[in-house]
Amino acid sequence: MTAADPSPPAPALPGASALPAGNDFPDWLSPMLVKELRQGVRTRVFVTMFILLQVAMLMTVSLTLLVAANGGDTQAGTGFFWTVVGLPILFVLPLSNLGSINGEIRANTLELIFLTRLTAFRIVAGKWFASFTQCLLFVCAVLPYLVLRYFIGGVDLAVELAILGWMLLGSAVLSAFAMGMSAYPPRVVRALTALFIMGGLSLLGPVVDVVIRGATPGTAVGPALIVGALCCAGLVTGLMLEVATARIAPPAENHSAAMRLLAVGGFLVALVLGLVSNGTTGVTFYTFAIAVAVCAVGLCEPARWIPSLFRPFALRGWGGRMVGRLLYPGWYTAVPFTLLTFAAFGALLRHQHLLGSASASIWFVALLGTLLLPVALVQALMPRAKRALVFYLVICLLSVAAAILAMVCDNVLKTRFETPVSFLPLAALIVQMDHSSTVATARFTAVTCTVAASALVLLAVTVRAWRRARAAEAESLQLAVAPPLPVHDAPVA
Amino acid sequence: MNPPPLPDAAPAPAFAPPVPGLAPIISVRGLSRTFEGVQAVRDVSFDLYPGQVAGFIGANGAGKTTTMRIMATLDLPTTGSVRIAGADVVNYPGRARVRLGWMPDAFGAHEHMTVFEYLDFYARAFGFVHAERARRVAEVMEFTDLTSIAARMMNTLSKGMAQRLCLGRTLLHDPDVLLLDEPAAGLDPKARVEFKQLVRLLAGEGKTILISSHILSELAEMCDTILFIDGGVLVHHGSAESLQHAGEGRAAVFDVHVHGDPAALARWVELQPGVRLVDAHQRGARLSFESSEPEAVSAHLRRMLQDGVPVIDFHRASRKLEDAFVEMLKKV
Repeated sequence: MTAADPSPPAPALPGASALPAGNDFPDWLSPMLVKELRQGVRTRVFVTMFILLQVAMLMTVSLTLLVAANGGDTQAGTGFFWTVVGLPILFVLPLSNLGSINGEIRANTLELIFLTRLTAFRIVAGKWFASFTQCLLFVCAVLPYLVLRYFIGGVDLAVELAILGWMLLGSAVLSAFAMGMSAYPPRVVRALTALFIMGGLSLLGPVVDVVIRGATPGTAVGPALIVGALCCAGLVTGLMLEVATARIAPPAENHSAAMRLLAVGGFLVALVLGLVSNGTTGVTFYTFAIAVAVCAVGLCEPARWIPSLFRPFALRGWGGRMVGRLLYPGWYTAVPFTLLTFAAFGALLRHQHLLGSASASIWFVALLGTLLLPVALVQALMPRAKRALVFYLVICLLSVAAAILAMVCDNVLKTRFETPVSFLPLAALIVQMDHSSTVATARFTAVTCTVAASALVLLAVTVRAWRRARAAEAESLQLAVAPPLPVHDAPVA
Repeated sequence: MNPPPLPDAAPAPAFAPPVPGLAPIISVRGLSRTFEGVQAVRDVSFDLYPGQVAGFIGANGAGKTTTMRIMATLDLPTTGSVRIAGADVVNYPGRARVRLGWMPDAFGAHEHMTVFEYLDFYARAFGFVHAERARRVAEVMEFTDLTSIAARMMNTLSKGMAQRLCLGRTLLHDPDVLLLDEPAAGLDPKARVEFKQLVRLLAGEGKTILISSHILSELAEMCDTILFIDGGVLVHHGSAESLQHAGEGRAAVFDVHVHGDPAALARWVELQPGVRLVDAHQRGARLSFESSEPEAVSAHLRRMLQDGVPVIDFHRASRKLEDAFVEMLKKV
């Protein structure tokens, strides 16, 4: 049965007449979206924010009317207007997603949803889209006031609509970010909330830039930059949704491949935009940041040897297996993927003349080392450690402490101390921010040595993992074909 | 987590009763699960066939829920495999999920959602559309007697109502296999009786049902076969009767009631080879006959009557299921 092929009316059942029809949402909508909207619009946060928004909007318009009647500046309340609009759209509603998935896990409700035909991605995407739809409801509620401002306040309606559109885009990205975070345990979520706000604000940076430049007469934003901003927003959204999905999906699903393909997509966007326009270096940086995040997630993944993970690649012969060795879930495939990603972005950054200086080169290599060194140490020294994250944090803290020490030393000590400290890539990254530093060449050599050593250690320790991967590939070919889905059930709408 | 080896490595246990002509719909082989050094389930193997109702019994922490969660694709085995309707739960969890209905012991209520909306959501999630969706929801609500509380918010439901709602959700997509974890826990006596009737009704429709509980008598009445698990090890798989008579060997235990002084019976026993007094009581005694063959038992009874023992009741002594289980655990 499909949406296009409606069934005949159901036979009347005893008691059925007492039931609601359940047709408040059409069948073609995602079940998760329907569920979340039904629940979401009843929450205290939504109702309160909606009423407060209406009150604030009425106040703003009344004040503008008053000012207009007295012949004053009708655009004086613009700042207040956008603050009131931005607060729920950019902060309150996206932030309310921080407990979304983890809340369901704690309430013991998510597992039952897993056992339906909804995939993990559809569950996460449905939740995210419901949050976005709530933002859309707020935007729709604001539109009449926007029109009033046009008639009373004489504002440029097109610019205001563009700002509202960009706000909606920012809200979508921030909601996805919160959704990704919400799949982690609450303690981690709380710790990352601050990072979320900071990250959100930095993500909004280019959007605000584009909006301001787009809204300023005579400085129209090039289409390449707008496309780049939209692509970056899409990539971040996709990545964060995949991060959440990977946390809740069955181990037999490969979400690492999706994340890594997003990084590849980001590289292609940066490459194409870089070729057609000169003003898209910001896009290159953002796509590179996305790729670095993907590499970090991949390097922290445990290896999984479930044969069905290998089967789609193994079935495609030698080529498929080679691709699989970059896309199988686990740190051992993330190592070559990271090296290739950095090589590709390195070439692109160099092509765009962004990697010419010694300082930029140190940043680039130190970033790679920051990713590789902890993984190399963990995999070489404690491959079965349950709490590898603690080890990671210790390395990071040591690096930060060493960098701070190096930066606060007097000039003589600094010169002596900075080079050995630079063997810790994160420390080198921090020290690089100190403009009084003068040992760039030595630092570059030190950090390059660390990266090379880490890469070598990783390549050595991956040998055993590759052996298991080859065995799993062979095993996957022996795996029985998945039985068909039962035919008595209707397909998912 | 590392995956288990490929299935079919271990043979089915010898005591699992095979059903001739039918392929098992649930096939568990060499299942083990370790949590940070603690082995919750050890080398569990069994088969269940279409239409079977199986009880899964064990003390708290015996490994029932862990086994069932692995079967429901919600956890991964350390070793071993589980197939639901032919689908391996580790490699093809999606295929197994659509064939099974899982009812957990702890039912989580969604906030801001009515009973009807809950079932409507799951009907949508299982892929039912249009009138078919409305029909399924109405049928399930009728079956589980939820129609009158359709508009109630989920977090205001009593334990019994929530259990019925959870069962309703489990039945929505008409699964072949039902895994019910402590479904009767917290139900009042009337609801328990209704639940037993419901289980038999579902079994009549050909569904395979695995019900876990730590109350033996509760399951013995409605299950075709019982799996006993202790310390993560499957210690018995068979009918309730087979458990009651397990360990008896060739001997048969009978309760004999006499009219008048029971000492006459005790004196008679002393003179009989192959008969032993197990226990004497006010109305007679419990006797153990060396052979449980019907001819031998009948000969003993005949001789007893010929020797003038005033027998008014003679029947095979049935051990309580709990006693049998405890004895079995002692032996294990």
